[in-house]
Amino acid sequence: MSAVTEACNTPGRRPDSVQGCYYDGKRSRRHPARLLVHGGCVRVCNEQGGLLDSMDSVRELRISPRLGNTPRAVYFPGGGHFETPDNDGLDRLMGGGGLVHWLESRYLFVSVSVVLTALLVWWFVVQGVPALARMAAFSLPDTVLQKLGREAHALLDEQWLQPSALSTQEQQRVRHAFAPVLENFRQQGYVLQVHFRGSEDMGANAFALPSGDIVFTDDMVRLAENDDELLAILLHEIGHVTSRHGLRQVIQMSSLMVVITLVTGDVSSLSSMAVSIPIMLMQLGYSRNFEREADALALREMLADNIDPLNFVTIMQRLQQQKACGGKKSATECGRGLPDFLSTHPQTEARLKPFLSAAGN
Amino acid sequence: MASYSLVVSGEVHEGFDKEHVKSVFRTLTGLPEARTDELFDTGKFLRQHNLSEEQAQRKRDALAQRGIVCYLEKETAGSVVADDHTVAPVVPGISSHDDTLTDPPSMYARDDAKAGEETVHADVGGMAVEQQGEGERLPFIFAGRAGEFFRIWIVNLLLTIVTLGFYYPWAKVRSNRYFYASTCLKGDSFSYLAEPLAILKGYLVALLLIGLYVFANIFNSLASGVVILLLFALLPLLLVRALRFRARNTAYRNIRFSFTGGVGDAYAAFLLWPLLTIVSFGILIPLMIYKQKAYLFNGFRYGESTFRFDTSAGPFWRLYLMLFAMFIGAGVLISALTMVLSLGGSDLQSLPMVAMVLPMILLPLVYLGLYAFLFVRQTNLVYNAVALEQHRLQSDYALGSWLGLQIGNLLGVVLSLGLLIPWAKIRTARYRAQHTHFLAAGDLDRFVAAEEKKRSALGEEIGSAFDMDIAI
Ligand SMILES: [Zn+2]
Repeated sequence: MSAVTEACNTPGRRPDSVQGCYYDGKRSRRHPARLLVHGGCVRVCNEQGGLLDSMDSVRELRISPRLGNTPRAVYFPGGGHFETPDNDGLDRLMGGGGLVHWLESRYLFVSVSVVLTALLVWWFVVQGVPALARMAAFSLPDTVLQKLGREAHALLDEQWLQPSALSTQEQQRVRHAFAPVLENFRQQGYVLQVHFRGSEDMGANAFALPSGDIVFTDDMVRLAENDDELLAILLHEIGHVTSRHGLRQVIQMSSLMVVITLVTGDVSSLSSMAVSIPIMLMQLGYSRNFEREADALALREMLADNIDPLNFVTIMQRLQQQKACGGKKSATECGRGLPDFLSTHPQTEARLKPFLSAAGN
Repeated sequence: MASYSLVVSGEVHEGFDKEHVKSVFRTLTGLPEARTDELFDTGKFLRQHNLSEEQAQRKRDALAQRGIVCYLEKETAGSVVADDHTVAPVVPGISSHDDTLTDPPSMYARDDAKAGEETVHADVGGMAVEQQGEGERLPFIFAGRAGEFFRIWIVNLLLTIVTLGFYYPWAKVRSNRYFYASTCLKGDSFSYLAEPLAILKGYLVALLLIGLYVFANIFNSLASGVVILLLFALLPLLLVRALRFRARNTAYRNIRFSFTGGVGDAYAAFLLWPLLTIVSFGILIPLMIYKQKAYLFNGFRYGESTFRFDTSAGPFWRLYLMLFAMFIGAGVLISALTMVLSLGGSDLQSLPMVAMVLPMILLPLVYLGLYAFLFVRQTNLVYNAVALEQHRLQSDYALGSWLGLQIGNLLGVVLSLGLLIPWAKIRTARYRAQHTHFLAAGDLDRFVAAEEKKRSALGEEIGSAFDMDIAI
């Protein structure tokens, strides 16, 4: 309490000190100064030995935690602060530099952090995100699915789909073939609805919306050589619906965005474009897993309903051939398509193997 | 009148990394790398003559703060006492007066002709001498290092992950503090003073709002529409909060910045003008940008001193007209090129390929180029218009170097799978500092702190969650 009033250069015992600058917090003037600690008292003195600020207890002063080699400040209650780049000197006088800084300056811990962070991010992206998305998707009410599906359907009808050019008889025939399967799922609580649409851009295709609306393009119906092939496709799409793949995809996409934002912080402009490339690749990986899940359901149901699994194989091969060659050249002339990691649907061969072996039994 | 000379001995204070000190010294003086190495590694001396006592002391302090060992020597009037170390004569051009009037690269007159001599003449530029009534071009100096920041980044990232995100505000504060503290103007660094707990509260509130939106969205599209409208209506208010938070937690020489822009004006700049722009099919974009920048920079204060945005909408109109002309020009050029190529091609099969592929390759490049052009020009335009009382900012971003920086960052971040993100951030900050100057019209000692005002704590905390990167 009393030592504060002492002069800056205490005769006799030499106080410990660090060099730096003092700013009084009232004006932007810099005062070259020394911070002295003597007998538990802290004093800031200018070069002429005049007292600039003081505090009679080290413990009551706030010191900014150490951060690399950046200068750090000692804050005095009156609003003034003493700043010094001499971090070691300040630590010696006023105590430790903080746990986080200690971790940051240990190369061993930094290396461990790199490995651990990489592993955790990898694990989270590969295992955590899909698991969380699955949990979230199945805990959300059906109204969400209805809403998502309605919006997607409206958008598709507006942009890519035209009314079907199939004759009413043909549509009736296919619907009739689908009826038992659809009825079976209705009893399990799934409201499924099949739509036929024309589409120049999509060619032969079928897709499922989260709401349970399943769309077959005209070309798809024409591509099939019998109704069992269409049934196989229908079961695959039903797999997407019952596993809530659409919703899970949306949730996974947004979680990845959050992860990327957390990791990168706010990297400006172009660099943040760079991080959207891995997101796209990961999305492809996720969709492949969804395809496998949908395939598994299709195979299970086909076996249960006594539909030959070979039907799935034949239509998928025809589809693949048509996609790869634009439906014009013969199969031998066109390439083998995209490598596995770049394609949404896993390489057909690998995908069809379970169906083939099931058919062989 | 007694004059002093400042001698840099090439030694480094204890506790400083020599390589770091060297790079800081290079930035301060503009001295070539070879000369700096000579100075620090071979025991040569550097001397600057003809300084007043006060100037010399100020420079000595600034250097000492950065770990550079130096001392003063008294000179007798008009001539220099040659000591044991120096044999070089005084170079007449290096007077402190001249220093302040020329650009940094040229202002460090070097006696290259006398390369064999032991003395290297250079000025300690970052701390160049204050001259009353005369302008002085002060560089912003960024001393952050990629290696050092990488360690901070990765450790804090890990801590954020293992605490399931709760550590994020602390990590953010540490990162911001690093960039502020590494940025120097006239020997003093900036400080970032935000409290992590305040930021955490802000994030929790923001999370609540987002949760509200998600729930509304899930159960009812009408409710979600209402929430979206509400958020849009609140956006200018949140922006003002964020600006206040950011400015209040920024300080230089222990004097805080503040933001005093009004809420009503924020609504005009960030709600009314965008709406008018939409209604006018985008024609009013330049005016909108101008209004927004003017709102921002007229609102900032440093202590009691107010910032001004000293320009009219004219340059913005010119910039966007130029951009539009370039866009049209590029479009015409690409179409013409495609036409010529498809006419010239005799092979019928390759013809549509050329016509299709060429625009697909060229168009993204054109977009990138135009975006870079706009960013660089607009940054210069905006910062050159910023004034603090009689002082000004000066910005000289250049298209080539900025594109080089961004492409380098992009490649580095992608090829390193994100590990070079800290490096990219450091490079970006360094570029920004190197291409911004402070044109001081007098000394910087006379700014006065503003009176503490009562403020709504929660409001600013909410603002912190929406804290955007608004550079001052
Ligand atoms: Zn599928």
